[in-house]
Amino acid sequence: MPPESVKVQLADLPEGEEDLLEYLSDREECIEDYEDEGEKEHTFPNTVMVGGAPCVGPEKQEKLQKIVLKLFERFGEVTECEMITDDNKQGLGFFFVTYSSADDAKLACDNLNGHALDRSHTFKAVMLDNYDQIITRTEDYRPPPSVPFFVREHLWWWLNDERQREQLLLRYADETEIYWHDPVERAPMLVYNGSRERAKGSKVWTEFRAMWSPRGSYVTTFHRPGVALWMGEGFRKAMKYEHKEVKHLEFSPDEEYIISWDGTPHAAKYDKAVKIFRTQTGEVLRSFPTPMVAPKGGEFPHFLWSADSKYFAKCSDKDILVYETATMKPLMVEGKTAPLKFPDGLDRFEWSPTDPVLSIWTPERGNSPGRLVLIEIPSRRELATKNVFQVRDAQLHWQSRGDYFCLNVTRTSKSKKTGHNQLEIFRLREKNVPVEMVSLRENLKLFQWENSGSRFAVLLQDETTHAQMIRFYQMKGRGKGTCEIITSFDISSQINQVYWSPLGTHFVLASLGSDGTLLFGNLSADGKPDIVHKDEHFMVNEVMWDPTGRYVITAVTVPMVSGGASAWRYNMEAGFAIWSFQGRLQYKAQKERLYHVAWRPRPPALVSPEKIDEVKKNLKEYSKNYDRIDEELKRSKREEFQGARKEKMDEFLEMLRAMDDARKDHPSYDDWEDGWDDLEDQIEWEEIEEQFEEEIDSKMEVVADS
Amino acid sequence: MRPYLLNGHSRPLTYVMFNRDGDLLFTCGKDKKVNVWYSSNGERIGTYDGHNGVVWCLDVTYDSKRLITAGADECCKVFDMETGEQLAEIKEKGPCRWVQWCRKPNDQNKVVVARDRFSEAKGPAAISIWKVGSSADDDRDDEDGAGPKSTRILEITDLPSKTTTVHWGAYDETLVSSHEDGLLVVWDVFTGTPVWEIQAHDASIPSMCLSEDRYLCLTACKDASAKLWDLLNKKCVKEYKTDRGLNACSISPRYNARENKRYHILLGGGQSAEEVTTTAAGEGKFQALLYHMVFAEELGSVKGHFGPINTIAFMPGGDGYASGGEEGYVRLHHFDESYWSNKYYD
Repeated sequence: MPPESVKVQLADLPEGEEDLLEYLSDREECIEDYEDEGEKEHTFPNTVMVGGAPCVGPEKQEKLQKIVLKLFERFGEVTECEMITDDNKQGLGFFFVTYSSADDAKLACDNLNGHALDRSHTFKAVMLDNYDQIITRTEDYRPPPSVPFFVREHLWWWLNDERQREQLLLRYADETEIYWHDPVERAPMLVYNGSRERAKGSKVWTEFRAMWSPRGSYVTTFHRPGVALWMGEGFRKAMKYEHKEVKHLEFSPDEEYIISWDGTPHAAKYDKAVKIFRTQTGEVLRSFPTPMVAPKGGEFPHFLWSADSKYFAKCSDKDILVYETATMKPLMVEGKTAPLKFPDGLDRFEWSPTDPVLSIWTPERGNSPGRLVLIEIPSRRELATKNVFQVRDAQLHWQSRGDYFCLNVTRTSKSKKTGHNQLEIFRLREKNVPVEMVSLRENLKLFQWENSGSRFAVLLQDETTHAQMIRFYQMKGRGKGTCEIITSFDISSQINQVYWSPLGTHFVLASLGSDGTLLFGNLSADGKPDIVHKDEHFMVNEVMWDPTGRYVITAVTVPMVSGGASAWRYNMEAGFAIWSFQGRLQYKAQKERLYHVAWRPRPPALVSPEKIDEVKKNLKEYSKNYDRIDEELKRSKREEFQGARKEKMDEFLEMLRAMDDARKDHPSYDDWEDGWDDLEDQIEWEEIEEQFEEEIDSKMEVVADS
Repeated sequence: MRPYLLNGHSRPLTYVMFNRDGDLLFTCGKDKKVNVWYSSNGERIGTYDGHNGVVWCLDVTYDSKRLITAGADECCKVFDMETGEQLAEIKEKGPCRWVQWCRKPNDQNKVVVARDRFSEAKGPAAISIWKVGSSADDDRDDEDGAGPKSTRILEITDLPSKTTTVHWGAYDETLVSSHEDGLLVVWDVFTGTPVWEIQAHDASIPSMCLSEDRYLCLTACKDASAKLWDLLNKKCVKEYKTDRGLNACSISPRYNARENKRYHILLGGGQSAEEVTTTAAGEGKFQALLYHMVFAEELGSVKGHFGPINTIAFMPGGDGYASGGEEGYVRLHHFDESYWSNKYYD
């Protein structure tokens, strides 16, 4: 219980002594406050112990004191600096330095420790408060291991942009630049271009590749000694990964791991060709020689990650080996490494984009048919299999939510002269994974699932007329079990790619590498197609939707390794354009030697699908705020623009006025004016007025009958 | 805006101009021909014959009575506009690149002529002022019957490089010349000395034009830019950037009209023939470009020529223009009603 306080009121004071009230504290427990202060004396957060200074006799102590004080004062205001001496006033090379603030003391301690005063004297500094802890350390004390790592702060800062703009990365000529795409400003606004790195002496941020990580958290740049990772609002360097002559890099889907490859061929058997790093610490967790097969075709990647990043797998031509990420070891069966074996050969495999399920294709060989198998990891349970005969080629297509899987096979007829396509569609979410076959009479040019949807588009070419059409199919709901044609229509045979928006519904049809036709369209929920805009981007070879499905970049890029004639051909047109999803051109620029342009990816949305549906339904409500900001911005832009124009015009008119004055003030002005008059008089102009009358129509009418 | 295509030249056009009243269009070309057309409908009225070489330039007096032409055959010829009869001839010491009547109204008896160097023996390139002989004050014909004798008043031979154009300045007191090395020079007419000299561009200035009061000057350069100059204060006031080498420019006379002001300029050019094969798109950028004089923004372009535009001229009322191309066609455009009614062109 606190002691009962005495409350003094104004009225209690004797007359004439009212001003005494000011001297009375209105806080009650003031005595305890003082006690607290007494206790504080046991800690000395402002004091640093500095040892290792020269031990000098009394005659030199003053000089030393001066020197060290000067040094100590670099870190803050020193309130006390005491040199410790023995009984004979001989210096012990030891100081207590007290700063006016604890922060300064800490800073001084960090900086002074290890500071070399001269060749034979190096300071050792500790905070006085840590003294007890240090001297009580036992013999077997080991300092905690220091692992370099970075703190993931402001990782997703760009997502907080007030106007929800998108960022994009440009890598062209010697430049690496990050921009905001600003639909109001039209021209992209520079965020960072490596100016810090270039200020440090290197002329460029990177002379090799630059790319986003899959969730957009980082930018990675390639350098000769390895890869660097950049993050946060200032694009500060977070980590370096040493890998000489690195050629390719792949993040795990959760960005926790990085696989890099230096381009050594499989045959070289160089056991550090592939390295796996932990992103945050830069540790090399494992390294491998280059595996035999890059399962997606091309030269990279050799290891494929499962969607949850728990597993990664590589394959040879006969087996698949799945590694567990946590241990970096292959999955074991009864204590033994057990690859998934395919003695008849293995062509390609792919992970489901959402589940730990492998889709594996083994080609037809001799009498054994081509075979597709879906295997769940780590249980190795076969979810489904499908055998197909007379197969020339096969493609694997996963729908982005992992609900459906399509095996697209080209079958040959018995005579092996002609081929036709057959789609085998697996429904992963239904019991026993039913498979359905769609047979196509025409040549299939392209198959593309609608992102996060249950529809797909195919480009078909008639074998005889070579006319091309696009056809859309819809997977009917659970249990209904059929895949139906929604609609199809003819399109130019130049079109060779379909790009669905990441949100589905909208799509861009493009003719890559040739005339550059672009068709912006959509497929409504009830299956009505609509081409809203047709345009072209000559020589276009890349089309990219932004992660929100609002904008599309079309680009003409050139390969970084000079690739002969085609590189030269593309370089004439190198550049990019930004379009709205409806095909309205927002920005277009030529960029010499454009190697890479990419939207910054976004991390997966954290809101539930139900919430997303709700937002979609009430889009107007949500977009109000953004519309308002955009509107305001546009208005101020407009005013600024008009202001600038008016200023320019006024200035120009002022100049014209001055010219007119000069003309009129000239001594010969009257003479010349007379000349003009004479000129006009001499020309025999005659003003003639002529009237033409023409009767257009006449009508006789009896007005009154008398 | 349907144009009239005037097919009266068999080789590249070198110069087009309208008379002051705007009813006639004069054109000349490398085919030695000089034509005159009705500007209202593109009907050819006649030709002025006599040159035996490329006709580089021409000029007609304010009263439309006398036409002077500059030929590579080392002479300038004065024609009676109406009859086509040769009135006088100025014999020069090299190919004549440019000719222009002095600007004093009702007293246009002098011309400025720019000639190239032909050979050491004949003499250097020069800018000259000639008093054009007329039968009124001198009826002695030249020995070959070319007309009354003209007299050289001034000859400037100390030139920085080849002269591309030379115009009379305000009140005929100066000459303004543009050169192949990008230099712009203002000369004193009386002494023949430079008054002002500036490196206007880094490449050749094939075309330059002046406003009627001679204070505003527009230069078009091979480096794809055009610049507007204030000759009163001797400074550059605007720069217009395009994506093609320029050969031709013209200032709309409506920039200081009393009403329906249009602050416009026209620019023309395009890839020259020897470069055309290097374009990927196969397009040589032969459109005429309409720019805003003050805001230096492209307002529009008119396509049609299939060779570079060599010369371009606004009509005196600013209601249309003519352009002459390397391919030998003259295109005569009258602006649509929307040019005057649409706020965009204000």
